Formats: sequence, C-alpha cells, structure tokens
Amino acid sequence: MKAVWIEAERVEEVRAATHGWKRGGAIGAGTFEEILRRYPEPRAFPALLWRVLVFVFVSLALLLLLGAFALAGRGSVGTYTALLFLFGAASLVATEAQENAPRLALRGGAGATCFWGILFLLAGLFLFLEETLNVRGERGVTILVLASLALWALAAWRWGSPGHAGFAGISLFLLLARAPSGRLLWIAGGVALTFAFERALDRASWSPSHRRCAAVLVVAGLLGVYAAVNLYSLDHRLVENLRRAGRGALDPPLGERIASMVLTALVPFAAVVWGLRSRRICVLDAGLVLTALSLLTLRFYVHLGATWLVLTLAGAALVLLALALNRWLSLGREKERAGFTAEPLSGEARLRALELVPVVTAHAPGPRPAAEPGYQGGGGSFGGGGAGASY
Amino acid sequence: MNPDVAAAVERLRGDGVLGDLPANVFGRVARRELVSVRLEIRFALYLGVLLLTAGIGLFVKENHERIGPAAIGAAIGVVAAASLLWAARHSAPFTWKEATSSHAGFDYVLLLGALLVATDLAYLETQFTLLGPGWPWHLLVVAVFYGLLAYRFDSKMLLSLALASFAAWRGIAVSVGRTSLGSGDPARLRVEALVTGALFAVLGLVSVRAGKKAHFEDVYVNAGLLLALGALLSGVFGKREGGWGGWLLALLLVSSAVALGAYRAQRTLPFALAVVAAWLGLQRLIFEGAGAAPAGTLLISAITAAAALGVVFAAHRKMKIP
Repeated sequence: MKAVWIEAERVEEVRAATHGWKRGGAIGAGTFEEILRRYPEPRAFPALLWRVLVFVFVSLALLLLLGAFALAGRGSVGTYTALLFLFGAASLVATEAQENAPRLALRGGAGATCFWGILFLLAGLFLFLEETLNVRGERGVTILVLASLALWALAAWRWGSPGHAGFAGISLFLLLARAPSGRLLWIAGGVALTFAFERALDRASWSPSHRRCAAVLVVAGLLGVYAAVNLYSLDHRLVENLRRAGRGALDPPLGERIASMVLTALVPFAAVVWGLRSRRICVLDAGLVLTALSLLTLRFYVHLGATWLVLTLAGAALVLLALALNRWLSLGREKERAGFTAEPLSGEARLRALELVPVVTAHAPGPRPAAEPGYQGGGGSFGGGGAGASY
Repeated sequence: MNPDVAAAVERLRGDGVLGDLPANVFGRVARRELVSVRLEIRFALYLGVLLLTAGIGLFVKENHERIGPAAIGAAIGVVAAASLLWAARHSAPFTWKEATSSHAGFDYVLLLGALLVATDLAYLETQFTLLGPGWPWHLLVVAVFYGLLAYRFDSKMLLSLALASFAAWRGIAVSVGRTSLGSGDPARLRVEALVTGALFAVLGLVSVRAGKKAHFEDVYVNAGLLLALGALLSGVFGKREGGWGGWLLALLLVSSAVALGAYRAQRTLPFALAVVAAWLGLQRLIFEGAGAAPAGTLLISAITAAAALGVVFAAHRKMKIP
C-alpha cells in the first residue's frame, strides 16, 4: 500500500469520526466545520448507495463485455483461458489505476474490478490446469485454492479491502482442509491467525484499512477454530468432506466427541469473555454468534421441548435479556458500566433506515390472492402478523 | 482502538478546537475505553421478536383445536397489550414533528405489540370468519392500525409495514421485479400497483406540504416508487401480453422524471431506483433485437451499463452530496 494512500486513510478516519460526533449531537456546526477544514477530504468518498450503484454497473459492464468477447471468439478452451487471463489482468490494472486517482479510489469501481479480476484469473487458471496442463482432481483443486489464497491476500495487502482479507481467510482454511489432518490444522491455523492479527488491531503503524483486514482475520480465525471443534461438524465430518474424505470415515472416538462437546461450549464462552475484557466488539460479536450456534447444536442433539416452546422461550429470553442489559447499562454512572454503554456514540439515524428493509421483508403480509369465480370466502389466511402460516 | 482518531483528538484539544469534556469522551471511545453495545442490544431485540412471533405462530397452529380460539385470542391479546403499554410508557409525547424514542428497545417492543395484534386479528378472522368472503379487508384494518401506531409513536418501521399491508390489501407486494407484484391478472395488478404507488407518493408530498410528520416523506415516496417502477417493469417484461414497447416508453418517461426530480431534490435512493429501472427496461429492447448476433447484443448491453455508470458519476459530481 502506498504511503500517500495510508495518509489519506488516516485523514478519512478522522473525518468519519467527526461526522459521527456531529450525527450524535456531540459537537456543533462550527466545531464540525473547523475540524473538516483542518482535515480536508483527500479523496472523493461517496455515500454507500452511490458506491453500491457503481459496483453494480461496473460489474455488469465487465461481465457483459467478457460475455460478448467469449461469444464473438467462439474459439477453443485455450481462447477462453486467454480471454479470462486477459480480462483478469486488465481488471487488476484498472484497480491500481483507480486507486491512484483520488477521484475514483473510493467510488466502488476499484472494489468491483479487483473482485472480478481475481475471479477471472482463478477461472482462467482452472481452465489452464484442467485443459492445457491436464492437472485435474485433487491436485488441481489444491493449486487453485493456493492461488486463491495468494491473490486475495495480495489484494488485501495492496489495496486494503477487508472483504479481500475475508476471502483470503476462507482460502486459507480451504487449503488447510486439504491436508490429511485438516481438522487439527484448522484449530492450529485458527489460533495462530487470531493471535497473530490480534496484535495488529491497535498498531498505529498499520493503515486503518489494514487494521480492518486484521479484524476480519481475527474473526475468521475464531470461526475456523469453532468450525473444527463443534460437535455437529465432527459428527458430520464437515471439514473432512471439503476434500471428500468424510464419506465412509469411521465414527469419531468417544474421547474426541467428549472433547468436542466441551469445546463447543467453551470456545464461544472464551470468545465472549475475551471480547468483554478487551472491549473488542468484533470479538464479542463473534462470540455471541458462536454462542447462538452452540445453542443450535445443543437443540440438534437434545430435545429440549416442543419447537414452539423453544422458539417462544428463546425469543422472550432474548427480549428480556436485551431490555435488562439496556436498563443496567443506562442506570450506571454516566450511563456506562465497565467501559460499556447502551447509548449511540455516533448517532443511529442511518442504522434505523437500514433496519427497515429486513423488518418489512420479514413481517409484511403477502398480497391477497386473486379472487376466484365462485369463491365463498372462509376466512383467508394468517398473514397480518407476518408469520405467514395457515390454520 | 483507533490510534489515528485518538491522536487527532489530542491535537484538536491542544489547538482548542475541542473542549476538555467532548475530547475526553471522544478520546476514550477512540482508545476503546468506552464502547457502545447499542447495535447488539437492538439486534438481540429484533431476533427475540422474530423468534417470539414465530413460536407463537407455531403454537397457535399446533394447539388451536385443543385450547380453543377464544383462549388463544385472549392470550395473544394480553401479550400484545402488555407490549403496547410498555411502548406507550416509554414513548415521547405525540407531536407532528420527529420524536423518536431514545430507548434502545422501543422500536422492537412496539413492533412486537403491533405484530401480535395483527396476528390476533388474522387468527380471529380465520376462526370466526367475521368478514366472510371479504376477509382481505382485514389487511386494510391491519394497515390502518399500523398507520395509527406509526403516527402516534413516530415509527418509520410501522409506517413501512402499514404501506406494505395496504399494498397487500390491493393484492400487490412492495418490491421491484417482474414477478413480484402478486398472483392474478397481471394487467389488473399493474394498474393497482401504479395507482397505489401514485397514492403513496402523493401522501409523501402532502406530509411535507402540510408539515405533518414531514420526515415520513421518504418512506412514502420510496414505497410508491418501488410499486410504480415495479409495475412498469412488469409491463416491459410481460411474457403473455404484447405492447411492451408502450410500457417501456412509459418506464423511460417515469424514470427520467424521477431521476430529474431526485437530482434536483438531491435524493440518492429515488435517483438510484430510477437509473436501475431504466437500465433494466432497456435490456428488453436490446435483447428483443438480438437476432443472430448475441455477441453484439451483449456488447451493446455492456455499453448501456457503462453509460449508466457515466450518468451516476456525473449526477453524483453535480449533486454535491456525499
């Protein structure tokens, strides 16, 4: 990553924090303007919707153009391979060019060209291995996964996108799963990944985007460890199935299963405790997700009661727990306890706007059916509450 | 920790731009000495409401014959009333201006109460067939109920549900997509969607003009646009009926008008919807004339995507908004 990009990111961090302070009502217009004047915008940084629009249209243009060339070529597999390599390389060159242009760097186009560029290169490599070099089967997959790891990691290092770091993390675990003792490697690799990148989270010498990449890799490490120790994953040989070695394998020994049961409970607990003690929200959130997964695993193995009862009790418990936590934090001195608060620290208007989509999607009643000739009514269906079931 | 922001806060405090009090708070947040879990609390509440409503729905489905409709209806009613009472106690007094509650759980307890009332209404209607063949009217009742709650408690979430329920009463769904309008006669549904969409847009404009809950305008207008553009797209891509050219012309006219209006009003979402809808509509024209040159068709389609990209870039630069 270039020094000039890193400097720009540091300024953008301060500007983003300033906007948050303004939204939360913590500073007035005068202070806001003064801070923005001292930290002038180094690169054009449009709102999320603009970036999504650009990402979508750049993706469409790239894919349609590739399709047009592929159809026009009507050539051999070698032609398609060359085309994919050409488009992949051109897309990555375009990414670098956009990152170098302050007006284009953060518009969403660089993300699109990088994403598709890497996918084109991987698709080209796949065809090259399969058709030109005749490297097929497991060996070919291993080379492909290795290339995927290298490309996503390089992209994350060069352009600092957390998404690319996430794909690199996934590729790493897919690669580890290809070894005979893949499950153990997932545990070792996950622990190593988590602790290696945890040290980088607060490092001032790292650029802000690289610190975000590190946060993604910390979470990826935790998820990898959990996926390896989870009882359901062990019993169903989920890790081994990634290299098609799970089918026909013997049942895991009792000792392994007991260790897995203990760790299925312990890993989420440890992650939550770590998240609370370090006040790292990404770790805390990962721990909460893992806790939910462990409860689902428990429900899979132990019949706790009728489904409706489990759902209702779990829902009521969550609502009451969340309300109690909110109240407990709000009653603390300065509305905080042990460094945690339930107050929004940077305004939440945008969050509320984003919440509308899942709520309406999940709870809006379906349209009434078209009236049929001779229809005599009969009460219709249950849809007002959004549950969508008929009695 | 965010070392860049932490360093900047100290610099701004030193230069006198930030006072000691805000600088202390901002510095603590940047150093991770103070962390907000508001998002986690809200997500837990939303998940809790989802699980609760699903559990209650399942319970009613499995046990309604054994327990009886009156008992079930009463039980759901009690929980719904408790939720709405809690919401009423924690709400700000009514005003025609924006008055969002600062309580992290407010939106979701209110949502729970509203959903349970709607569930109860639907359940009682299925059991006692009070409305007979006119049962879809209960969707209108639900829409009005959601709407009243939305205005009383200043909830955009409930207003969105009210609009979706109203559209459902008219037999349509609020989403963009040629198959999403609902079942039944496509021509009738398109007209319904266009009329409902226009009604929503008018309600949004009236809200602003009258100064009554003017901040609801974006919910009304966005829902109206989704319906209207969805109806026009449905006409363009309709398989069985002819006359898609007319629908395309209408789509392009409406999209252009919306994009121009959004550009002048500096509104991102309507602008984005208009550009996407127009681009999608144009694809029918391009692919209709594909004939024996599919490569050329894809090339033209790619060029239109690049052109749309150019429009987006130009509009964003001139609109001077983030």
